[in-house]
Amino acid sequence: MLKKILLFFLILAANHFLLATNSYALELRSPRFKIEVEKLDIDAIKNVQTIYTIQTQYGSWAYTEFKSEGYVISHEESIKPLTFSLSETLINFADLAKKQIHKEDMVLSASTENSQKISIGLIQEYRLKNFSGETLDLHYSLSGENIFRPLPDQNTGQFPTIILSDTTQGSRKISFKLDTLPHQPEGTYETVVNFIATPDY
Amino acid sequence: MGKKLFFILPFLTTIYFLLTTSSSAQAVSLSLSPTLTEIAIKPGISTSIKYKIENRGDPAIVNIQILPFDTNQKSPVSFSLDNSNVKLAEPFFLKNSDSLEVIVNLQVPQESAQRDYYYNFIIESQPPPSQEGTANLRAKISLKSPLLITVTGDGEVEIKPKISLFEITPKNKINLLGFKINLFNSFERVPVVLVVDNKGKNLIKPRGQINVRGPFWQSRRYEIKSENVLSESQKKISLNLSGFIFGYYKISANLSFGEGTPSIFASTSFIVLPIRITVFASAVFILLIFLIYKFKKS
Repeated sequence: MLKKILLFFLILAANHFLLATNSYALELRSPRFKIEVEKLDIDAIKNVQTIYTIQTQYGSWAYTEFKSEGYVISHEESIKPLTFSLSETLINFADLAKKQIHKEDMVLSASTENSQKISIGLIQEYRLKNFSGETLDLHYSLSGENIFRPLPDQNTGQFPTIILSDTTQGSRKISFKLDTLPHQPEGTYETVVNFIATPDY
Repeated sequence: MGKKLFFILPFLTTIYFLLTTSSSAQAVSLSLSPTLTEIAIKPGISTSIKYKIENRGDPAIVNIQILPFDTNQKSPVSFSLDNSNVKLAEPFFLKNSDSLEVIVNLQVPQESAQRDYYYNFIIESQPPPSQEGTANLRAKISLKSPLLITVTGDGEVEIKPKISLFEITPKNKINLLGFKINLFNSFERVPVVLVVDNKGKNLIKPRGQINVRGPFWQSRRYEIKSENVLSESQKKISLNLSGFIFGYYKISANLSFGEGTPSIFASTSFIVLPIRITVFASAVFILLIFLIYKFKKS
């Protein structure tokens, strides 16, 4: 019996120390303060609305400047530049009639000199097409991925796809693949792909 | 004939080397600062903002635009450039290593509603022309710099925040008698998602901490840096916490919105158990028992 009690005591004590957390009740209680109220009416509607000013957001200097100038501009640390580069701006897929699969790469890189994060999106303005309106399907794949995805099309109301996000510095190789039919008619096909760098705000 | 050929060949070779340039694909590299501008302005007032554009790549044709976040919304704020050689939405040439300071004048009409207006200052490179007879992918880059404008007559702003979601997203979620238990393996990453709603007509800047309390008086604090949540929208803040070994952990978010504003709270919990080690140890233990039994039997 004593053995059982000892075993249970040990199990319960171990459970208490391992699974219980200390509740500091930071938000509601403090041993240093005692709040006394006359009558607690939790259903009462608060009629007094607290008024906040731009001092709350930007500090007292901003409010003083706003009062004297009529405006205040805040840049914080965003004064440092955002740089965005693309290794090449023109990709040619040649010999459309000879080959059925065409693949070309480019590298994009973006960086900020502050802690502001950036994201890069891509979208094609319209589908790859020739002068008579015939279209070809263009796909992209990011480095480290095995699949090729279709590019979003701005012409049909689609939104840019994010290919690099939440970073202060990064570069990525992007591959474009074009599938053509056997004996695809030669000619000039073209599309514009927009790479958009947006800093977090 | 042989002499003639001998003369023509070096002549053509010389012309080739002297008059041709190597054709390499054009690279584009642009930089833009500032990357974020916030303005609080009274109706009927005008001001100007400076932007700096730098071409760090090959010579490029660049275009400047200022567009509202919601292009369908009518914008009361009017913009113009104070530069003599550059105009909005008109392409201009920028040499390599050249930089340009652009001064944007903005005018807020007297009758503008007192609320927030959000725009993007955009620089965009022009794609190169296509080449005949091939399929051309013409690439261009766009760099955006958000311009957040608060129109207020006396400097008052509306701060109406709410935590709409504070959740842990575990791989193992157990529902035990109606209680949802977030279960993690020891040393597994704990993904935390916090969604802050802004119900007001002006942007808010939540900042604060996420506190984690565990067994044996363990306590950790993770800072939440001040970020803008635009009016009548929400922002997701994601964190990946790690280094938890064993026990029950309580996690709470505490956000404030600037001097004198009330704080808002949310809390949740999770349990960390050495699941993999336990399964492995149990398997080893069962195997040992089985081997001992077999050995004794033989």
